[in-house]
Amino acid sequence: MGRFRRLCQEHRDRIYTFAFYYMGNREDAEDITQEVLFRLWHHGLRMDDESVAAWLTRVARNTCLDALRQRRRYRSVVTTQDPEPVLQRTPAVEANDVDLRRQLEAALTRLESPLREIVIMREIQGLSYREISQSLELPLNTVKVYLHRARRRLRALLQE
Amino acid sequence: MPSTPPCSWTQERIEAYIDGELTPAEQDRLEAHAATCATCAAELEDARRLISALRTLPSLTCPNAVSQALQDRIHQTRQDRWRTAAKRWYAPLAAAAVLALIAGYHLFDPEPVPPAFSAKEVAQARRQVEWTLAYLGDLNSRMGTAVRDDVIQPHLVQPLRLNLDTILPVQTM
Repeated sequence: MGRFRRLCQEHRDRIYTFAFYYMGNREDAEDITQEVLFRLWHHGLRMDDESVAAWLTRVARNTCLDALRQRRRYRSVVTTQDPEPVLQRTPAVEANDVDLRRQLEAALTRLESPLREIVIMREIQGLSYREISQSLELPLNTVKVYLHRARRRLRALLQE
Repeated sequence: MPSTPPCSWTQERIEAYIDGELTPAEQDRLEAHAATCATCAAELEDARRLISALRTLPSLTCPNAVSQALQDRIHQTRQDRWRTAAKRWYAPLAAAAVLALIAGYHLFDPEPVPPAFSAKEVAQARRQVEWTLAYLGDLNSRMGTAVRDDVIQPHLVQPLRLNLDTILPVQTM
């Protein structure tokens, strides 16, 4: 359990942050963080420490996508309308520009994949292009192109 | 002085410009255009503000409840694994142990007790033995064999009768 606990402590905040901005609410972020760390315990302890970060990001992203797919399937059963995402505030985000942040978080949840994960990883979490490229298994230049597209799309969403 | 590019050219390159990915010549062209085009200048400013705002979004701390829930889930999974292993291995092992016990009981089972005889059966057997001995004595005399009765009686008939009296009554029901 020693190595697993250490890896959890090293990566859980990063996974939680990614999941929060990807899903747009705290409950989903908690569920996804737990799921990702559980998969680390279940499958991932055989890999070396250098590979863990990229693996965790990949699993976090896939888990978010799975959760959104399930939600979409559920919504398609109970309603034909896709409601606006409900964002919940965290104490850390209570600042002067709270409105802008709220708008940003809402706009992020409306970005399609992989634009959403790339902008979160690059602009919020500060990962390098190389790290994003490894995590998402995309060519480095493609990551750059998607990042620029994501920011243009975000600007358009904020102006709506 | 570089020629001023159209707005579409500029707007396609605003993100790359902010990230410092344009060549020096392209940077000069974009800046020249933005200096004379209010729309593209505003786009450039918006793009910068967006990046700045994104970078001020905080990294979050994972709540302790997640770690606790994770520990509970791992504990539960371990218990489930034990149960699965028990179903997979212990049931056949238990069956094998029961079979071994049954086989061992039969292997080391003591000799079965012979059936006891009734008093009637014992009396009949004794009569048959006495009759056989008498027949042997008679046959002996008719054959002219020189075996005297005082030899047969003490050395054959009486020991045999004694043995019968000792053994057979014990086994009667």
